[in-house]
Amino acid sequence: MTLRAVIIMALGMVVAITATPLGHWLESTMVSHVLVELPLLVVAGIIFALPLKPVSQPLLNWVNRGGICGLITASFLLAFWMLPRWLDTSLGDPWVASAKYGSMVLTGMILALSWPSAHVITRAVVKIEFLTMFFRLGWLYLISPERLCNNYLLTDQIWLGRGFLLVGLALTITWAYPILFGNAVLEQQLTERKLSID
Amino acid sequence: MQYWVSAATSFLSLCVGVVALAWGTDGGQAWTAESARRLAVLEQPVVLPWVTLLNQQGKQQQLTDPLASQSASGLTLMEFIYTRCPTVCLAMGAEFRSLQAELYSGLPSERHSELPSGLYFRGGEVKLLSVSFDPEDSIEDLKHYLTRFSANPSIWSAAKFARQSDLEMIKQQLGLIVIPEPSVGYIHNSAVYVIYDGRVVAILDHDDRKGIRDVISQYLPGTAGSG
Repeated sequence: MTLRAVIIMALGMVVAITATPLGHWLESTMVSHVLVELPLLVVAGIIFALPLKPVSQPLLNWVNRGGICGLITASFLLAFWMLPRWLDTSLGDPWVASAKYGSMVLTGMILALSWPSAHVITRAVVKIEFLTMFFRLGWLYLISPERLCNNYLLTDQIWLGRGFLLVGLALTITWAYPILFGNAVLEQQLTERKLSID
Repeated sequence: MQYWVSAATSFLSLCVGVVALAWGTDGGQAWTAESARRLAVLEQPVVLPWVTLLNQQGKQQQLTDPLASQSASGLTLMEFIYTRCPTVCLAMGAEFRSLQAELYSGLPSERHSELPSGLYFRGGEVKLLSVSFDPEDSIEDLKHYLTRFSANPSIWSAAKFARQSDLEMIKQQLGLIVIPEPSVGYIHNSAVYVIYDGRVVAILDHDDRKGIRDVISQYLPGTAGSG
């Protein structure tokens, strides 16, 4: 499959989510909204960034050295849309909804343009922050006695809490596995990093 | 030089991010849409539109003037309900009943001054209003609802929207959200709306008795007698 075909598919997915009943359907439950719709938009953003990478590299070396600026921006974008208030508001306000869709695609693009140049320590920090975000939010949604979103039921919220914990667990296993059992893998990665820095 | 530029952009994005999160939560005060709308109303009261309701007697009344009260400076505590509601509206109704008892102590207004203690009001300045958002609720249902909670009809009225389009407007303006739920009927963000001079000046939890008392004494100073 050519890059062009992949980009067209990603574009189709974004249009389907933002402009067809599919988006409405995904947003009908909190779990599919947060753990399916938003990640799909981020993935679309990652794909959109693929052709930009070679073109923007000189500029990125200038303003986004080591991907730090981009990763900070992406974390804040994600954190903002994890606020129950704005997730909730996006369901009734088309402007806020558009901002949310745009932010998620942008987050994907920024991640794709920052991650490859991030140092292994930066990556570790981001991964840990990501894991703690999933566990924190999962815990919050599981224990909150009241509804955090007016548009969703309390049971929805509990399902999302479980979903967050599950995803957090899966990511922990995925990322911890090479550290625990794959010293060779880690060493190889470290060597690659050393070589690529000047 | 490259290091400096990237350090500056990183610092900038950190600052913008912190400012955005602070803005998005009203400085850490409103993490949910519900707390945001309550905060917004406190800062900028919402002027209620001219909306016609049908009360439990089938009579028309204005949303801003329940019970066609003679005192223009009256205060209304309003809540949204549906009469089939098996859960939270029961708690809300019970809370209103208890509030009614506290506010008026079952005595005619001319005898309120004799009350030894508690919060009470002269001349019926505080009214209670339960508004149904359920199009299926009939006038008869509203009447039953009031009877169920031993409502004093001169204090507490129930009403529904004369036009369904008005409900949509009110939902939009007040941030009322009603989700149909197959097993119980509806789920809604229940709250007490304090109306003063045609404006919603506060939105509180239905069981926040202290908050309700505070708002009443804030808007009707001198009418509250205690101790």
